[in-house]
This record gives sequence, structure tokens and C-alpha cells, in this order.
Amino acid sequence: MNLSLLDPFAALKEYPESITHTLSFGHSVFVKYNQQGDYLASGLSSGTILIIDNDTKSVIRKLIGHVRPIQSLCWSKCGTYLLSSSRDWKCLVWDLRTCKAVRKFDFSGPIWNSEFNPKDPQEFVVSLYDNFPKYVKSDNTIQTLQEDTVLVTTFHPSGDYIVTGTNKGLISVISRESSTVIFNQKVTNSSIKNIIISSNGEKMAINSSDRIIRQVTLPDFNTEPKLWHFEVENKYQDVVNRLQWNSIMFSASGDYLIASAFGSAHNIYIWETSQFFLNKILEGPKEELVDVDWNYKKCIICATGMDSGVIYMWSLVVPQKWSALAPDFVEIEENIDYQEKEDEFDIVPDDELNQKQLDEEDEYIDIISKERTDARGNVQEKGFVIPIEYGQTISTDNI
Amino acid sequence: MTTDTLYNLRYKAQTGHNGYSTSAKISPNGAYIATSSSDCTIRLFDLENGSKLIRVLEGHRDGVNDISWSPDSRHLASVSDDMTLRVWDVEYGECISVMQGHTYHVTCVEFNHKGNLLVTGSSDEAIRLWDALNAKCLKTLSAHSDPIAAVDLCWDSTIIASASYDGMIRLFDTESGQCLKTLIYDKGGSSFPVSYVRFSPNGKYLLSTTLDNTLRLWDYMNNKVVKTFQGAKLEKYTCSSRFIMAKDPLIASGTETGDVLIWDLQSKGIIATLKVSTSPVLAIDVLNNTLIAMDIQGNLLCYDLNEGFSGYDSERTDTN
Repeated sequence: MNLSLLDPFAALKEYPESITHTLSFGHSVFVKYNQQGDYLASGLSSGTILIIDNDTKSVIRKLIGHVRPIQSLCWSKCGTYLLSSSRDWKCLVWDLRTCKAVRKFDFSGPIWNSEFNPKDPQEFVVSLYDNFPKYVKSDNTIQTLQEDTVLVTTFHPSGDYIVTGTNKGLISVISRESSTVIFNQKVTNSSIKNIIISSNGEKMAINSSDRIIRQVTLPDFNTEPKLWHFEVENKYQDVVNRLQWNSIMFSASGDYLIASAFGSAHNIYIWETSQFFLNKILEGPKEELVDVDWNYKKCIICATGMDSGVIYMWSLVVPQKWSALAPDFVEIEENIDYQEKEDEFDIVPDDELNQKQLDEEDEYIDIISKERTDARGNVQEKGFVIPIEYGQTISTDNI
Repeated sequence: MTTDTLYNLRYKAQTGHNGYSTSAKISPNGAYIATSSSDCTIRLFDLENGSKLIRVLEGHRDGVNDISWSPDSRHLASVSDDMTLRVWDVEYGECISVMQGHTYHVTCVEFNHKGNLLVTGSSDEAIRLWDALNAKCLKTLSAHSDPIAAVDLCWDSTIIASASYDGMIRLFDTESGQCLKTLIYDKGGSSFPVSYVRFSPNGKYLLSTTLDNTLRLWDYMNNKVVKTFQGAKLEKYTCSSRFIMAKDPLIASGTETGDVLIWDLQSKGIIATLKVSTSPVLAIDVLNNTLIAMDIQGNLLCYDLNEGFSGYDSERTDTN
């Protein structure tokens, strides 16, 4: 709601440019915002998961269940469930109404990542080390998704397809309904580290260990798979330093791609995805950044620091509008020659003025309907609210 | 079925405070009424049967000015002349946190929709934002040049509106604390103190009460008053107002003559007068079809909306 009152040139920028907050609650290794952008889940190296509220920037819930570092986190679309996987070989599904783990899965081996079905938070995919990827159904049955060892599994935003990537650079598309591989293509010879798909389902980016991020335009998935071809539109790489990319993320519209880099580069790179140029390098802190996430609703980019485990946040800085402080202040670009209005000093009796005002108030006023989208074009709705446990100050020491 | 009476009286009760009654609020789950008083206490009643006193919350050292329910209906925030903000556990009746920071009487309090942020306004002319969980002051907004009488948050809690005796209504960005807009009604040459402010359900309009006996509906985006509601006596006290989602939207406000006046929002005509008593009705609150009104002497009346007037379709909130 506040966006429509802010200076549009400052508030509607595509990406934030300066670090505004650093949050130091334990050693964070994985960060993920919920759909509404009002809660941040931070996975710690101790296995604890913290839920951080975006308004107060403080921890509102502590989820204890894992005993080894968090490997991945995924929010359900409705915001009620959180899926976590950890290096203790377990996946937990948390119900945030009670903040308890309601489903527990032991995969007896290391987990790469796990992700909810965007259509149904009772189902999720999981990719395992040296094992076939699995699909977990609502009745807790686990089926093998693909007879191949893969490093990454991710859902297409439609929820009907799953994309996987192997250590040989092979990308597969699996139909969720039939659990069969319907398309295969090799895009590189090295292992695939991340696959991301933009929220409109049109663009895909593949981060592989050959230090290149490949951008692919996805075909129309309603057509015959035989006709599909993943054409690599662009390869993002740092030609000079040959940086390895840690984590990648699309912007809400898919118009920008961000990446954090391995090693000595402490910055976040932002590319434009239709012209492929490097748009901006966000100045980072004095340490390597590992995981990045982008809060589309509030336009915040956050990243975890490798050594300190601190969460760094880049957000928009909107300058105070001075004209907001008094209704008769106006901000102008240049001087205006003042022209006295014809009726400016006319004496009109107050009663007449008031009556005129009252007579003009005949328009229909709708106090109920909300705008469907906010000024950034995101859908406005009240998300799930995590219950607050008042009176229990959450200790963030030794976590 | 349509009858002439808009609201039917369900019961009349007494708050029983040993002092002036200042505020009354219905819990979001519809189970309780909480009332605050200058006798330093807060009393909890059963909404079904207002004479059933459930609990008395004691702890403030001076008069309690305002209260606000948390979204879970299990906690209550209260502000007082003792300059503190307190959060209470309603089930156990104990105070779980005391927040200090204001330098003069705290006059109004509101929870955000998530229940983790509290906004208070004070006679020290500042608005403070508090982390309700860690009992910490997050921000102090130097907002006005006279005491602040009321604060409200829009439905997604991103904007705070404040009403002050300096005659201004200000809108603040919850996240940054910046002033977004200032509204003044000064057509008559000088502006009257603003005693109450309330966001419309969709957050696009503001209903203000000024001590010139007038309620105004502001289209704040365009700095324009779009409706003026007259006929109430409002010169001295902060009498609260509400939007009522009846078949046609209505506006209700307490008055200093002991009535609750109800206007039709579109036509601005008074369509009902609920006689509460002869002393100022400081607090009214609405939850679905229930309306409560409390005067300064502690007369607490509960009304039900006549079925012929109800029938607001909540589906309309989500469509254009």
C-alpha cells in the first residue's frame, strides 16, 4: 500500500543498490524469503532454522530439528509450510501454524536439495548424492523420479514438470503426472550446480562448474517434447577472473539475473537478461557471499557471508519527500513565475465555501475493493501470518 | 426482512471501573470485550453476556488510555498515563512485558496485522514503533507539534496514519519511518484538532474526526475530502469511529451527547441514532454484526445488526 505514496523514481527501481542491514543471528548458510516477502527463513550451520520478520528484522521463531548444517529451504506458496533439508540426511516439513516438524524423511545419504511442488505443498522432490532423485507424495510414499543420479531438481512454476541436472551436464525434463523423462539435452560437459526458472516460466538459467551460467529460453511445454530444443542464448561468465558462481537468482520479471561468486570477489553481479550485459555490481562486504535470495515484494536482495554467517541485505533507499510534510509544499524542478489567479483574493463567505464543498461530495466511494496488484505489479494479498509467542524472548546466543 | 431499526440492543452492562472508562475493544475471535479505565486497570468481559466479568488486569500505575488486541486474541497491549506500553497474557492475566520510552502520557496503541509490531502515539508528540516480541523500541518518529490522539494502520500494515491536536493527519511508511503525506483541513482559516483517524477496509480512504463536530472521509492520494459527516457533537473528547460493512457501507461514531450516530457512507445522511446515555460515548467497536458502545461513565451497550441490513458480501473485497 505504501508504494503508491513513495517517489516512483526511487521506489520502483528494478534492484536495490546499497547494503542497509546486516543481520547476525548465528551462522547462516541458506536464506529464503516467503512468497509475500515478509518472512525470511535462515538455515544455520548448526541445523537450526530461524524465521526472521522483515518488519522488525528480528527472529520470531526458532525451528529446531536438524543437527547438521542446512542444505536447502523451500516455502510453500501459501506460506504455511517450510521444507528443509540438511546434511544430517533428513528432510523435514514444518507446519508454521504450530512451528513443529510434521513430516520427517530420512534418506540415509546426503541430500543436494529439495523443493515443494508449487501446486501442492504435500508433495516435493529431492535430489540425493549418488542416488536417484525421489518424489515424495502426500501419503508419504517415495518413488524414484528418474533412473539417473542428479545434482539438482527443480519444479517448473506450473508444477507440471520437474527439471533435473546431472554431473555430466545433462538436463532432463520429467512430467510430474506420469513420472517419466520426456526430454533430455546435454548443455555442458561439467556438473550442474543450480537450475533456476523465472517465475513466468519462460527463462531458465543453469549454473555449472565450468564457471559459466547458461541462459535458456524454455519452449512451450504444451507442445510435443520431440520438437523441443534448449538453445543457450547467452553464457554469463567472468572472462578475466574466471570466477566460479556460487548461487544464482532471477528477478521477479526474469529481466535480471543475479549471482554471487566464489573466492575473493565479494560482490553480487546483476545482468540484464535480454541484452545480456552486466548491469551492476553490488558492492559487498569483506567476505565471500554464498547463498543469495531476492525478495520481490519489498525489493531486497540478501546474501549470506561465508566466514561470519552474517546475512547482508541490499534494499532501496527512498529519500524523504519534503512535500510530504505539508500539503501546500510542492517539489519543483525549476522556478515558476507566479501568476495570480483571477479569483485568488476574492472574498467568499465561509458558509458558501462549505456548502459548495458539501454539494460536490456526491461521487460514489468504494471503501472495500482493493487493487489487485501493487505499484510493482505483484499481486496483493494477505499472506499466512505465523503466530507470535509473546513473552518468550528468543535467545540467539549459541545457536 | 426489513424493519426500521438498524441495530437491536442485546444487553446493557456496567464496566464497574472506579474511574472514567476510556476504551473498549472486541477481541478478533469475538469472545471478549476489554475495557480500560483511568482507575489503572483493564477489565475483560464475555462478549456474549457483558455482565460476566472474566478478569481484571492490574499493573499500570496511572490511568489506562487505550488498548489493542493481538490478532490471536490471547494478548492485549495497553498504554497509560504512566508513560508505559504493556503487553498482557489474557488467559493468565499477567503482564508479560513493559516497554518504556515515551516521555509523557501515551494516548493510543495499535497492533499490526501480524501481531509482532506495536505502534503508539503519545502526548510527547512522538510515534513509537515497538517490537512486540522482544519488547524493544525500534523507531521514534517525531511526528507532530501537539499531542497525538490516535494512530491506525492500513490492512497490510505498510502505512501508519496519525491524528494530532495540531490539526494534522500524517501518513508514515512503517518500514522506513518516513512521512509520506500530511493532510490538513483548513478551509475556515484555522484547523481544528484531529481526535481520531481510521483507515477504510481497503486502505484507500481515511476517516478523520475533528473537534469541529465533523467527520471527514479523505481520499489521501488526492489530498481531497470526499465525504463530510455532520450532526454529531464532538468538541472535547476523542470519540472513536468505525466503518460498518452492512449491505451498504455505513459510518458510526460516538458523540458527546451520549449517542452513537450512524451515517450512510454514500448519501451522508444519518440513518440511525443509538441512545447510550447522556455522557460522552468515548469508545465504539464493531466486529461483524456486533457493535459495542461505551460511555465515559462505564455504561457498556451491545447491539446486533438487524438481519435486513446485513448481507455484506465479503467476496467483494477480493474482486475489482
